[in-house]
Amino acid sequence: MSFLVLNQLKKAFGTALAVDNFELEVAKGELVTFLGPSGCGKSTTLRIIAGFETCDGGQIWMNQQEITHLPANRRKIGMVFQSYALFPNMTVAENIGFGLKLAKEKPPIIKKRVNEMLSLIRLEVLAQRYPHQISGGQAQRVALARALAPQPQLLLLDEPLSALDALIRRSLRAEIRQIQQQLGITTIFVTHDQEEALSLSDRIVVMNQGRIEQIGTPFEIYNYPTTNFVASFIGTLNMLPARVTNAAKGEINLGGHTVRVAGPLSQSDNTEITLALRPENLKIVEVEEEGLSATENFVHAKVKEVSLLGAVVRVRLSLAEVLLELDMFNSRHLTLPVPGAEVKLSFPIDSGLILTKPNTTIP
Amino acid sequence: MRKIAQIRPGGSLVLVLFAVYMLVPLLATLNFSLTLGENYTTVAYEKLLRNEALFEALWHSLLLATLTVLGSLILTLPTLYWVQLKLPQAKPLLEFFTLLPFIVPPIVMALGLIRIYSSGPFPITGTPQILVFSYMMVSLPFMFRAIDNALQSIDTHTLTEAAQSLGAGTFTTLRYIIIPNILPGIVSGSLLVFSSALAEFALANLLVGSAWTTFPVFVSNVGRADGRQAAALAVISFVITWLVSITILWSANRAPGQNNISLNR
Repeated sequence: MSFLVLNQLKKAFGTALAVDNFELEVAKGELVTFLGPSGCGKSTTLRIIAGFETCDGGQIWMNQQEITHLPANRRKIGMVFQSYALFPNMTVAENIGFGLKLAKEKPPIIKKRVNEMLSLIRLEVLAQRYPHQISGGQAQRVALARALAPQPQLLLLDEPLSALDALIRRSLRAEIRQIQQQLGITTIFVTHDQEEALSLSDRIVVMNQGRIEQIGTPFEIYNYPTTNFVASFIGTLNMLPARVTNAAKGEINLGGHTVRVAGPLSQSDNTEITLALRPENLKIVEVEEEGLSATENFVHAKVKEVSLLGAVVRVRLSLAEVLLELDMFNSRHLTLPVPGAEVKLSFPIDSGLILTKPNTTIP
Repeated sequence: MRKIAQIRPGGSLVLVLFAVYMLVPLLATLNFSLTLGENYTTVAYEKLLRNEALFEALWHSLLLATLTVLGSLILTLPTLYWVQLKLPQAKPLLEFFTLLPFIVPPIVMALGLIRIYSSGPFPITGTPQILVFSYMMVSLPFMFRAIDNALQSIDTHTLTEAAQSLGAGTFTTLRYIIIPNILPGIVSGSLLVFSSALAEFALANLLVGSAWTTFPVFVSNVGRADGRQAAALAVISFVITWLVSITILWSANRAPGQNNISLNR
């Protein structure tokens, strides 16, 4: 049995279904992220695991013991909140040691453990400060240390970085991951930030309207989305109207060009579809011929706008009146496309995703 | 150093007039308590200080006020904490109850209490116990508002959940987290309840009268016999009230954010 098992969890608030048939197994030491838009049920699911919400159906098993109806204060779960929730009346050291004090540990043991945690988060000098005397990034590290000090079985983080600015968020995210891996603690992380989810996680659970859309590694979620929602929610997608011309050969008409996609298509000939392409899969090429090749598709487009975003150059083009974006890495030797120029684009045959209706499975 | 706001001449005049309006009656009372004919004398104060009944009445009022504060706290604090966490929909009903003491006149309240508690399982009419419960009712708005405001000024929900995640039960959370963080509100509410209980006359006179004399009843009795002693007692009352007010102001003016978490750093 996996370390954490969530079996058919269900939760409704009035007539609104917040969590619907949520099933997940988490291995010991794994970091799993719940990712989705606001209101998708990710925080509600986390709070059910923590014991702050009851579920209307389903079970929760942790370390082979059922904890579905166990009160929150007996689940031995550490939690880090978006608002830090440090106790204002206690110093940093007292905050970190509070869980151990409740567990009636001896003072020397508490002191030793608090010092270990302060060293882990590199805030030894702030031990006697109060929460209102430290910064947001420092407060969140203290909150993490406080959650970890009693050596919980499971660590839950509810959008812990949302209240911080971008620079601190990036450094703290790496620190959280490093500490999690160092301690080997099973962790559930909730976020609406894709970059956070993709960079931190062993696996991601993409949620929408209370349901799981897809579970997979960051690589799988990004490159092999299985539903339209996941495809459009994760990263940037060009959504290009097309029409099936030869389903058996996987040929479609895209803006007057005949291109191929992977495998025979389940849609019949002359069906209107949407071809989704990631901007980084498109390239501007110098080739003599258009049309089909074994691995690449070639199309003609016109450059509309070129934007320098730092490490990435984003080119907006029009392909038969349809706008699309292409991303290329910036470099000193790069020749920037000129607005108004006609260019040839290529993209791998297997990089296109066929989308039909929202929330349906991608074939 | 704090910048002192500049006051315009017109504002200064208003302050002066206000001070005159407030201080003149007090100074006149003090003057009256210290004069006998054309001489100044402290004989009114000396007579009072030799009167054991004064100290007994003062002790009764202090005891009553203390018990009222404790009873109000025990009733209000856990209730408001629970309502804040689990039953926010009950808040309007609670607020309605706290308005009732302002609506019901003291004499009506006293007659109702006498009727209910003169027989039955709790025959406490004429005893000090009835005063404690009636004072708790009358001072309920003060304690309720002070604690409610204090609970709303901290993130009660999240702090409670943080404490629970570390293994704390309800009592432990209240003891180590909530009460320390709403202490200024508790102190403010307690002092308001204490001072209103100390000064309450109507219910004390109607419900127990001379059977268990409180300080305000004593003042009223003395006032009928000796005006100067009554004036002296009024000055003593003012001094006690000022001390209470200064303490409230001190607790209310603690540096903002000292006990609060700020998200904007």
